[in-house]
Amino acid sequence: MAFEQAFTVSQILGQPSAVTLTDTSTGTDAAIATRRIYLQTPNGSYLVEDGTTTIYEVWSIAFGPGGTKSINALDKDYALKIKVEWLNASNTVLYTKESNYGLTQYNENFDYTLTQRLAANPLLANDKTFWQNKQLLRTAIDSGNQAMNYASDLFNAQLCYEKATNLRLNAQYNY
Amino acid sequence: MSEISDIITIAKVAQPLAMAGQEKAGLYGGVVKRDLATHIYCVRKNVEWLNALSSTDSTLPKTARYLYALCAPYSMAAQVIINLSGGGTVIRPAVETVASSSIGWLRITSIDFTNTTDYINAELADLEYRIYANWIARYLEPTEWAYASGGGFSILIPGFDATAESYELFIDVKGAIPLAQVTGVRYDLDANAFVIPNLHVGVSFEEQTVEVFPNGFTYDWDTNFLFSETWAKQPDAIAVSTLQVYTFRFLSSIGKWICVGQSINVPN
Repeated sequence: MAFEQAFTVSQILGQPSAVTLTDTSTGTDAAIATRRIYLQTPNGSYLVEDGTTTIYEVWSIAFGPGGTKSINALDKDYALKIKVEWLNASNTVLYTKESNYGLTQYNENFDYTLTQRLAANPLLANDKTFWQNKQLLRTAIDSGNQAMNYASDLFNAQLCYEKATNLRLNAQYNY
Repeated sequence: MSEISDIITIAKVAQPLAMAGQEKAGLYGGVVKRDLATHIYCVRKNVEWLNALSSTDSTLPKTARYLYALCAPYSMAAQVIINLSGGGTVIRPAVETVASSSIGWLRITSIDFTNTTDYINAELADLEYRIYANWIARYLEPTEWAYASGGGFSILIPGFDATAESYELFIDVKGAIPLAQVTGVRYDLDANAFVIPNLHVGVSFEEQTVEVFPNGFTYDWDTNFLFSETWAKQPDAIAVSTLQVYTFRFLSSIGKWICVGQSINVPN
């Protein structure tokens, strides 16, 4: 059966700085020796873990194809172009797959804590600063996701996420 | 579906109902919060997000109940829409179990308050009850309210303002606990009758009628009913050697008589 490259991306609750890739490829290719993961931001830079000197992370295939790889490289929410390469022993790229992903766990988690505060004290909804900024946060996250899902517009999606991040990082003034 | 996912679905339908309701309601949106649809949306997204990632998260029931409370004006309509083809069931939010000793529920809203925080109702004097706050879908904690002298209560939640916001509360009346002691009941040898001072109300459960007696009423067992501890009419007054008196108060807001006082057994 011919090799058909594929992967999925997810985040785990409580680990907003990490992104987990799962290789869902089908078929086999005995030539595949290793994989590389590129996390490219809208401004062209690449995210890697501390200590990594390349612009990519190596995804070992020593234990066979498939499996998962967690990369702890996010310092905030990102609209990322994630690319995985399957290479042979000579580091020649045999297969490539890339997709765009909005990774929003920092801001989603923060927004949820705001809802927890509301549930504990519903009168917070009467606090105009709190409530307007909570709505703004929600709108910013959703707008970023919309930009990703409907237009694959990483640049504008990142701007939306940056707006949400700014609200989160300045929570003492906004909520 | 789990209850939380049901609530999420209800919220998805309640949101457009709330938005459309604002358009239909005209000036001031028919007292429903003007940004209710936005409110439902913002909270639903949070609950839905966490439910997808970790449906057993310990914080989810509370935030989901909050979401359900937000949907309140439209939750029933939403459930009808969701279950349109199958009848379905009405979702009851996971709230504290109501004690079986509950006598009745009294619904009050912001307009019933006498000022920003106080609800005064003499009918509630000396009664024990709990307060269910519908906007947060839970009973108020003892630190969040206090009985008011003369009947009623004060809300102690910071920022609570009944003159500025629309609140809905339900009073879960438990009764007079403990019962006030009715004193002064005695047997008058000359009159051959029990003298019952300050008895306001006697109730015949057998005939389902209510008789209101004046203060200082003298019991005459030829024409009136006598009630034992078991509330049964005593057909043979001569056989009765003791009398126990109960006093009642009619809660017009609930439509029920409740016992508020009890005497010790008085021998003849």
